[in-house]
Amino acid sequence: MKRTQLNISVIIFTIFALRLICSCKKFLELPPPDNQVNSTLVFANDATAESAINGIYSEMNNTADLFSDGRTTLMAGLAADELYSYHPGVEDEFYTNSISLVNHDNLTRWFWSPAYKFIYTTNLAIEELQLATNLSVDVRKRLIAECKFLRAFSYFHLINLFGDVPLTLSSKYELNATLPRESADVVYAQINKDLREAEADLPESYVNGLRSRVNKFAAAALLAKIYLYRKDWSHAEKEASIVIGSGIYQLETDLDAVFLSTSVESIWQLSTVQLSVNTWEGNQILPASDLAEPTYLLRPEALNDFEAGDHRKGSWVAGRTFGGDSIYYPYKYKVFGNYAPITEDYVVLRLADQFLIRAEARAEQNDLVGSLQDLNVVRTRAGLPEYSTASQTDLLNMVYHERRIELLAEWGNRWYDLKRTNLANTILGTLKPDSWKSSAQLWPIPQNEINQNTALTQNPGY
Amino acid sequence: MKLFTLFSIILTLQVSAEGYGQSIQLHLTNAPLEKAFREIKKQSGYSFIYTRAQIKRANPVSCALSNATLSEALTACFQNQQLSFVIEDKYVVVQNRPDEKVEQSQPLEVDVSGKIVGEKNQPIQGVSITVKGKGKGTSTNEAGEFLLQSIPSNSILIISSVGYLTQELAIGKNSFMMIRMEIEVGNLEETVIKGYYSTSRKLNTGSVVKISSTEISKQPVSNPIAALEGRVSGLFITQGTGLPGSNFSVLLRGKNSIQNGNSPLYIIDGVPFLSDADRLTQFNGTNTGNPFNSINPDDIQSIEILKDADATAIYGSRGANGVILITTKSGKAGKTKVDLKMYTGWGKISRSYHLMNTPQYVEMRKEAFKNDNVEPDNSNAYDLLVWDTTHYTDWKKELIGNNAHSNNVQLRISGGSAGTNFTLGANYYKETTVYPTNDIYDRRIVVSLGLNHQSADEKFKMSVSGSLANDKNNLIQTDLIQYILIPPNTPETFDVNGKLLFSKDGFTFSNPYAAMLQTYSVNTNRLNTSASISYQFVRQLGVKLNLGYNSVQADELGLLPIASQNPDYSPLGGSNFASRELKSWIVEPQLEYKVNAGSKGHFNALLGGTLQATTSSSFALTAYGFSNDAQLKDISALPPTNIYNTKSNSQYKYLGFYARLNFDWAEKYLLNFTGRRDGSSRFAPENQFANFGAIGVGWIFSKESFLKRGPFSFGKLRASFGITGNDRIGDYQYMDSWMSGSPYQGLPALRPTKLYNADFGWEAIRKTELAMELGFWKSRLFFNLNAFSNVSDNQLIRYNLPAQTGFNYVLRNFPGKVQNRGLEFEVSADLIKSSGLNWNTRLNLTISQNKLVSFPGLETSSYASDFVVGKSLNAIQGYKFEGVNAETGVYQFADLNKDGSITPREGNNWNDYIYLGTTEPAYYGGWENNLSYKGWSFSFLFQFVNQKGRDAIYGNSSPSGYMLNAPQQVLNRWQSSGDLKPYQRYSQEYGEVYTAQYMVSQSDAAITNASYIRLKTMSLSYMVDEKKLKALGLESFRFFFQCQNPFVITSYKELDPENQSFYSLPPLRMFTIGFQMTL
Repeated sequence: MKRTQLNISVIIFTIFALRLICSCKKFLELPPPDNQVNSTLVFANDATAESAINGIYSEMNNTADLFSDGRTTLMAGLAADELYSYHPGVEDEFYTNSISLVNHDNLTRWFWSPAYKFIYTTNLAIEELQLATNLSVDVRKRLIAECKFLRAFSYFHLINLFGDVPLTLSSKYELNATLPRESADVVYAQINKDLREAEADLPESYVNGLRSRVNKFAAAALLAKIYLYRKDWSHAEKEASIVIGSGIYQLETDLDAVFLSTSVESIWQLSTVQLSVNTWEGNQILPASDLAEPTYLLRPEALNDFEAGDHRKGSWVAGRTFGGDSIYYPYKYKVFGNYAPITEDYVVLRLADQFLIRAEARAEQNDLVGSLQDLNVVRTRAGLPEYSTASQTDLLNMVYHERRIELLAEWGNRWYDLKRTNLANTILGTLKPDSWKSSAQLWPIPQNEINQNTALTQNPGY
Repeated sequence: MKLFTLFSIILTLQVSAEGYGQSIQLHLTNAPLEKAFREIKKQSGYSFIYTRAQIKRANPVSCALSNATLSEALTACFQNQQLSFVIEDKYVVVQNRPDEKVEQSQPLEVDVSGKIVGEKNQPIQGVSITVKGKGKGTSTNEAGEFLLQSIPSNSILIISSVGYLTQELAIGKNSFMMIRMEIEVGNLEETVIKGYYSTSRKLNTGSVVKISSTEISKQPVSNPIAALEGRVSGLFITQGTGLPGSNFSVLLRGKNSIQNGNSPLYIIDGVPFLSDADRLTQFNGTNTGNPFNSINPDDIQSIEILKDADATAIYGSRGANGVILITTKSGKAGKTKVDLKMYTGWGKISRSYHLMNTPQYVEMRKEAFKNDNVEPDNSNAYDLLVWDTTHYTDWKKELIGNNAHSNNVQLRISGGSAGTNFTLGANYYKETTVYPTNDIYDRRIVVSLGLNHQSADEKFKMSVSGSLANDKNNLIQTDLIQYILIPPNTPETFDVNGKLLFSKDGFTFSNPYAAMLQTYSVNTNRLNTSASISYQFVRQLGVKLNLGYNSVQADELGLLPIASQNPDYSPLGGSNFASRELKSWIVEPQLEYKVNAGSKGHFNALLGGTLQATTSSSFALTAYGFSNDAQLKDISALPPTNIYNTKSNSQYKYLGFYARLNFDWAEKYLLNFTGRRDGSSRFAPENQFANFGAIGVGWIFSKESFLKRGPFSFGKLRASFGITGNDRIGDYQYMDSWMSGSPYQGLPALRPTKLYNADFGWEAIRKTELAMELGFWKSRLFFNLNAFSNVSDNQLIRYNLPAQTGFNYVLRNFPGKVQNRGLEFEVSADLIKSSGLNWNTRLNLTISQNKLVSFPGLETSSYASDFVVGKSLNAIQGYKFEGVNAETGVYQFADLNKDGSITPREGNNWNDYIYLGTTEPAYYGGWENNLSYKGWSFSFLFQFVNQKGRDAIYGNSSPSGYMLNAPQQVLNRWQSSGDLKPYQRYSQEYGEVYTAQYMVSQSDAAITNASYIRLKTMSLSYMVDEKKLKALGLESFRFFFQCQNPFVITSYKELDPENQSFYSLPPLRMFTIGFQMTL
């Protein structure tokens, strides 16, 4: 009796256990969570593939403190002769051009890490798009071209801030993790290639009609700038001419309209993503009220560089008194935020810059008449008298001056211009005699990055 | 330490010597009465007078008596006889009972009453008396008395109580039984639960520490984890913050995994519980929602800490970091009892910075400007130029110097029969904090129920337990301690109408009272249920099914009222809502087979399986832009564009099969094998399964005849080796994925969130242990020495990637080996054991070391600068501090590589870095004492830790001179050329002084001795004499006074050496008074 009972129970248990073992593989199979999709599925149809690329733009303008949403303006503005911060803080190291380890993590957070994050996404997307078979031909071609543009754009800023940087062109993180710094020439060659391919493949019209995703002319505009930086004057002129001659863009006659979402001058602008603000840059610089403590202010030198009668001083600079002092700050963006209706987008590339690029390229090629014409287009809009004649050297200096004013506190243009025209030592050396060193033209490679990848080397002077 | 040990040994010797020969030891089983007489004569010197006829009629004698008096021994012998006795001089005269009746063939139903006493004749309460095979029983009252009505006269009673040897006695003809319980020798028979099975302490081959409810109840803590601090060797617990409902970090035998879950596996009544590492919350408040907040320490019967491979291998993949088993209280047969416990308490912060007053602060600021050669102006010195420089507020006293209050009410009803019993508990607990408000608190309500049932033949058993809890953690978003550094001359924070102020003459300041309006609360609802059903087919074979279901739901609410923000910035209101729900079920069938092998061998086999599934879903919503504080919780007041929400869900499934084979020979040679095959959904399909197992052996050498002498009473050597695993890596980690980002141009956006790596497998830890247990004088003195070594390999880590890859890490198996090894030493001694005074002392000490044994390819990996082979995982590296430069007044550091500048380590190139040590404790432990005298009992626990920690001044990266208050210690700063001072000059710019402060925080000066000895808990209680209570109808009444962290001895400056935090509240010093009564 007992034995039978025992046998039965053993049999029951064995059956149960066997049943369990057979079904266990199945038991562990899980569907992915609702809010995650893997790469293959993302690039399986046009709509999600569009979303993936849309996501890069979204991330570029999603949070404060990225190179792509205001940090370049602010930190390069402090490093050059544009801005100072009212309240003492660690950012003073940028102002005094003596960045120490204290700021290395900031450099990673603001510049290095987001730029490479966008580069990774474009690399991955290009790979997946090239393999994708279910996408329509046009969409696929355009998305690859957009990725190439965005990759070039990120490298352009990395190179100008840090000098030589690692050039990653695939999504293979094991490979990318150990890449050493590549010379700026090689990176520029890649930027150039990407932009030329983008220019060829991008349509002239904007996706969805808004100027917030790049088109052919955005590629041409960035290409013009890169040729200018590389001193390839003829190509710079050619690309700028493509943009200027496109007929799509005009200088806004009203200076107050240049940075509005509706600006016809804008070649590429980042749409607002977080609706609590209009632009992060405006939100960072503008005071919440007259009583609020100031943040980033214009240096007196920058103010003094405005010619008398320049309308831009009235439209793009604002002042108030605080604690008994008169203070001035950039006023290109005029909306602080606080859920105000969205009227401003963040302008990345605009037509005035193209006129000045062409003016400089023409002056360098001794086309003084052509150069003056372009320069005067910008001056006229600012309410200033036209220049009539000038020597090549004077004309170049006039273009540099115009760039300083027109592009004041805008995307680090001044910092980049001072460096590429070899004026940084002269101008900043005079302005900051105690702290300026020539080596400060390149910011340090963040120490933690060197720790993670021992193939990286530090810039001189750090 | 040596002296103490010697002292305790001597004491014990003396006490034992006194006990010898004074009383009678009588251990007989069915022995002739004459034999009992001979024994008693030998021990007492009394002779017996009887006739042969009387002896012929006598029944055999069975008894187990130790230290009995003569009359007790005689009562036991005559209990079952038709004889009685009288004592005359040194003689015992045996008599016939006067009214003898003829034995009946059918057993009569009789009523039996009795009294159960301990070795000192003290009555023992709560002893369970069951009638063998009849499913009937009761338990003793506070006087040790019991009554069983209408039971067959031939019944056998089973008498059992925790800590005493179980006895079986026939009732015979007696209507009153005097029963003496014998204490289990050093609790060696105490049951030890090892997950799916239990064993006795004596026969255990693994490393298990048991903490009983008595020890837990002596501490005024709201979190059961806190009650373990300092009590268990190998278990290192630190309290992160002194806020109510705060988090604890728990490490059992060191850090095995570089990044993944290092916290142990928690099991409550057989069901896995969320660990302290499982974040319930999604927003960052001052607390992350500790799941243990909703557990009432009073519901806990015991906590078992499973340490070595033998004990943990049955948990396979989940046992790598050890297992903490919590068993809740269950009912007891006997009269229905109502137990009420209440206490109230007060708390204060123990240690914090001694900050400058206004004159010192103003002097510091002025000197900073002078040092920097900067003219103070409105932008950088409004505290000096605009604000009143004589105004003084002691912010430390104001913000964190208040009293915290705690209140606890605990009610429990329990009772039942031998077949079915129950316990029902309810608890209310509330604790406020040291902030200047009572609206910040942690409040818990728990209802728990336990039911047990067994059939009359005891073959079928079932038990159900459940608890339902609500915990409301009502805090604020920032710990107010972060505001104690605001300038001491900060202007008035309220205007005359009581309205908050944020600026004076346009210059803003932080208003801590505004921060108090930014509330953050976590409301947790938890349901834990478990059931166990078993059936014993025959003596050898039984089946069991464990079932469990847990759910935890946490709702968060964070508010940013307009009133809490500076009106100058035209602020708007905001609110954060979040909810997370975790549900988990478990089914565990099990088969147990027991058989005797030969006359002395016992074989035991256990087979079982586990199926577990956990689903988690969460939802978070951020709303911003309210123009009226009254609407903050009403998101419909906002347009949809002002609301951001995220939703996520995940699943985890897990299954395993396990087997345990156990064999012992004559309770002398022990062998225990456990094995498990596990599968987890957290790994890619090809890597889901793995095998784990362990073997444990033991030799009770005190059973060998050549060792049976002297005071030596117990000796066991045991060893174990095995492999356990870890899958605490989060769900879906092997998948690459894209998740939704914020829409762009109003269209959906996706962003990549994870790199693909399906190629990772289980983390494995090899554990080895060697241990010896020694008992002397019946284990009144007991030593336990463990040596362990855990080597973890194939670790799954978030492998850091340089940002140039676009990601910060990828999850991958790590080739390096990490070793944790150490010695654990425990000693317990009953120093004094008498009818009046009792003194028990216990000491535990752990000496341990963590080491990165090897790391192939470290030089080329992303960890090249983080680790040092041969050193701890927590190795700290940094500059070599060379004091303050007497000329410049700035900290200076050694230029070790003589390259003219001070540079940090770059991979293998150490530049100016040196190895500075580790913050892991070198040794730690606790010393516990329990004293009792009559109704009084007094106990205390000292906790000691030898460790290094971050210096409160050098370790802080913010230098002195800014618009922030500073510790008074820095008054000892450099002032003028030639000064030799420990602290550098004041400065208010972000220049070389600032950089030097940053560097000093990365130097050897920042690492200081943070060892401490803390009186962790102290408890004094008085039990009112039961006779006085009778009139009031009470069974027992106890008053108590308890305190937590009354003082600490340390050379660590300023801060608390346990949490060492500049930014979070130190553990509080709590005092409580209360009472406990039983009806």
